[in-house]
Amino acid sequence: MFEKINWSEIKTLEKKEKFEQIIWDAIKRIECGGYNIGEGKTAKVCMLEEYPEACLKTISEKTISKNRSHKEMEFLDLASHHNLPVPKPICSVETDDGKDYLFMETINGFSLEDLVNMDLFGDLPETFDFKKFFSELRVIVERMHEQRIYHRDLHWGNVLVDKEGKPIIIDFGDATVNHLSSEDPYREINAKGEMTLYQSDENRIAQVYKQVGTYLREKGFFEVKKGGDK
Amino acid sequence: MSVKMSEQFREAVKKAALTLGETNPKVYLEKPFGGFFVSFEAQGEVFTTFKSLDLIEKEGKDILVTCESFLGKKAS
Repeated sequence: MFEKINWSEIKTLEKKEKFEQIIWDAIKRIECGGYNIGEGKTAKVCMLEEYPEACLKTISEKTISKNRSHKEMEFLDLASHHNLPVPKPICSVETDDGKDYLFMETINGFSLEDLVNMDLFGDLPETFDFKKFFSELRVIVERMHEQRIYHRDLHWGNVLVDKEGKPIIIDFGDATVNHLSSEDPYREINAKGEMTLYQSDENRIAQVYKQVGTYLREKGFFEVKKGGDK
Repeated sequence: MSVKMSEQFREAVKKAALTLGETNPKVYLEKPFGGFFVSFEAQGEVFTTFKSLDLIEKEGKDILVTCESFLGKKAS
């Protein structure tokens, strides 16, 4: 898919246990003293106030999404490598009991879902431009697809507005790479022969565009011209 | 337990390592890896080390990565 780290070239001076202990301590610190910055059906994201650069996504054992954390990190790595706006990944952890963790960059912003449901209109950056935002989002998705990455879960909770009013895509838990152009990335058959159909990324964006557009229209966004159309 | 550091981490180490020198013996990685720094000499407990040739395609001393905080730079 893309060049992965050759771990043989990295030698940990300390014992493997020590390396893991540092990571485990960070997990425990966030679990004990962190606060929730996002929660979905399959995972929650927490961070520590005194360390704003990084956050921790915890995927619970019972509601584990399709991709385990190593796989999800590969997608974030690949997207970051192609300068696509996603949180930079730091490290992924998979435990023997099926609990997964993903350390990544904290994004200073909020989701389109929170914008509407928590009525965060007043928190939108002055530079926010509705049409430009969605135009950029469509280009990002096109570029993702050029790299054969299909997100497959692009609901409004997985699209963030950052502090500059730009789109950021999160949560690659359902993402896939389409190796053959003849394959349908939105249709998947598991080992038991059960088929899962996903909505296309383009359709999802069209839905989100409508949802957010309706909300902003109600807020008078287009009349007061906060970067939107008149 | 299986742990993997990201390719972006390696890229950040590489970027910082390129600026290491006599006048710059300790370089912190960019966000969100701001709790890590690289150096040629050990300056605390070493997290990992990279072979210079593998990382920056140049013969030289090993590049040591030290972890002050796994969660990035502490807010001031």
